[in-house]
Amino acid sequence: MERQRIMRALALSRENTLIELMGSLGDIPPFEYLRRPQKGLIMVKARADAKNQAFNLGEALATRCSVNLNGKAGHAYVLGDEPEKCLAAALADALAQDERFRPEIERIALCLEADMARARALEVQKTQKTKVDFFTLVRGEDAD
Amino acid sequence: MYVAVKGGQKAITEAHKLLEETRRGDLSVPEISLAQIQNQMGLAVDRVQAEGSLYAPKLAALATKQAKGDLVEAIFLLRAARASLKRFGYSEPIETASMRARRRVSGTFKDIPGGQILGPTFDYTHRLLKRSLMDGGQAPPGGAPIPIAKGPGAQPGADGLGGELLGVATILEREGILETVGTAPEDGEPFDLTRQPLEVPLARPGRLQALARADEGFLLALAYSSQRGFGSVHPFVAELKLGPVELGFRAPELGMPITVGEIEVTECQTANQFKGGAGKPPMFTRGYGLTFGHNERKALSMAIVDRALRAGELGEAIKGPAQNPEFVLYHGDNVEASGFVSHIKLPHYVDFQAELSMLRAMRKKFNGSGGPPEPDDKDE
Repeated sequence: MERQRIMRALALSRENTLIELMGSLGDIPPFEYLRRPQKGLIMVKARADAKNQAFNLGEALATRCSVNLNGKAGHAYVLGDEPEKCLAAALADALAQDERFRPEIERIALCLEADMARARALEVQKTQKTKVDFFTLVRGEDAD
Repeated sequence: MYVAVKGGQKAITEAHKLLEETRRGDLSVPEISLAQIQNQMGLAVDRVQAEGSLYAPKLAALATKQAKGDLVEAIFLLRAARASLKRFGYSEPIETASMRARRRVSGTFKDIPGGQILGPTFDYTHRLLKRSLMDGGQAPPGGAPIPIAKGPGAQPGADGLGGELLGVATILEREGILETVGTAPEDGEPFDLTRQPLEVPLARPGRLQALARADEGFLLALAYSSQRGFGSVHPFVAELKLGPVELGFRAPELGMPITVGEIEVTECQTANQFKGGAGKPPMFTRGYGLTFGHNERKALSMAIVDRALRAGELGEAIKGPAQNPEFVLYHGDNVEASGFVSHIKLPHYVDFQAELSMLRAMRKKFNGSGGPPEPDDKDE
């Protein structure tokens, strides 16, 4: 499993789900902060006409955190003011680089993806019910 | 000038206490929570985020609560909060083509790939007050909370519901009737209004940033004026959609783009009649609107004004305010506008004294030269 895919699952997770799953790991090695959870801004870029020149839409609040765990640097950036979720994600990123913990972190990432898939499936199901078929009326003189 | 005024500290402190008291209101009524504002006043929160130019739903809900529901004041609070935070960097451009659309409609074609999805819309409602929403009424059930996953699901990794749909603008473009655009080569970061002064003429990326954070009412009025003939734009909604998009960010310590989360946006693409000119044949031309959150009136107005502001580039005569970049860009920001308009409430005693003595001198001179007499005080 690619590092980017794991980081995506961590970033898109719901905070309580991630913390609960990380809690299931049991004892993890001690870590030190390379950077404590810190709030900041990411300027969101978009494209004119969806695909033309880039422009700045506005900023998004984000949290970042970096840890050192057994010599492995774990990093995380997540949207919102989410210090606990961000720390959990940085720890998971560091642990994923450790052979002993990698299978467990991959399992957690799969759980998070499945959680997300369930939520999205529910959303799609509700949205699809609002799909409409507009039809234009055929005028009398055209209908022969 | 109001620097010559001193004192009033005690009265100001008491006024702030009273403000807090009126914000809270009757103590026998339960206090509103941020979660309630975020969930049940979502469109207010979205407007505050869009015009506050900061995607932060919790902070926008807090600002709305603190501002007693005055959204322009809440926008001001959010802009101020943003000013104290460090900038991590610029995101990768969001890909609205891969949005998981919760709403997607077109005013140009009834049959679009993926179909028309009405989603949560006020369109086609009867605009009748619902008695069921009154206190004690039988309100319809809301969305149930989604339970926490306990293990990997049946389809691990399969979250790609929705998927990329062929955009209506792309269909029109392939037919050759809508102006063609392509991804422009990147030359550093785009113009940034938060770091560079706004000067006209301003290229389209800068204009779009200014419009994205401009006042909704101002853009709505401009769009309306343009449709009514003050610098005519004849827009069709090629596609209007709402939904979450993933935000990618290339963190310096990682050297690769990572997903940091999702933001909800509203996007509107318009196709506008164009008779040809400036070396271009008759065709439909584009207008683009994009906002944080669910703000479709704003996104549509923005697309109309974006197109109107392209008048110069397309060789059209500038006939209305919506086509005038200086007029639009310098007056659309409601934090600046309300600051400048409202500051005259503050003491201007010295200014006014100066004007008053000048006016008295002028009137004395006027009366001395045999002009009409002063109005009788009794008439006032």
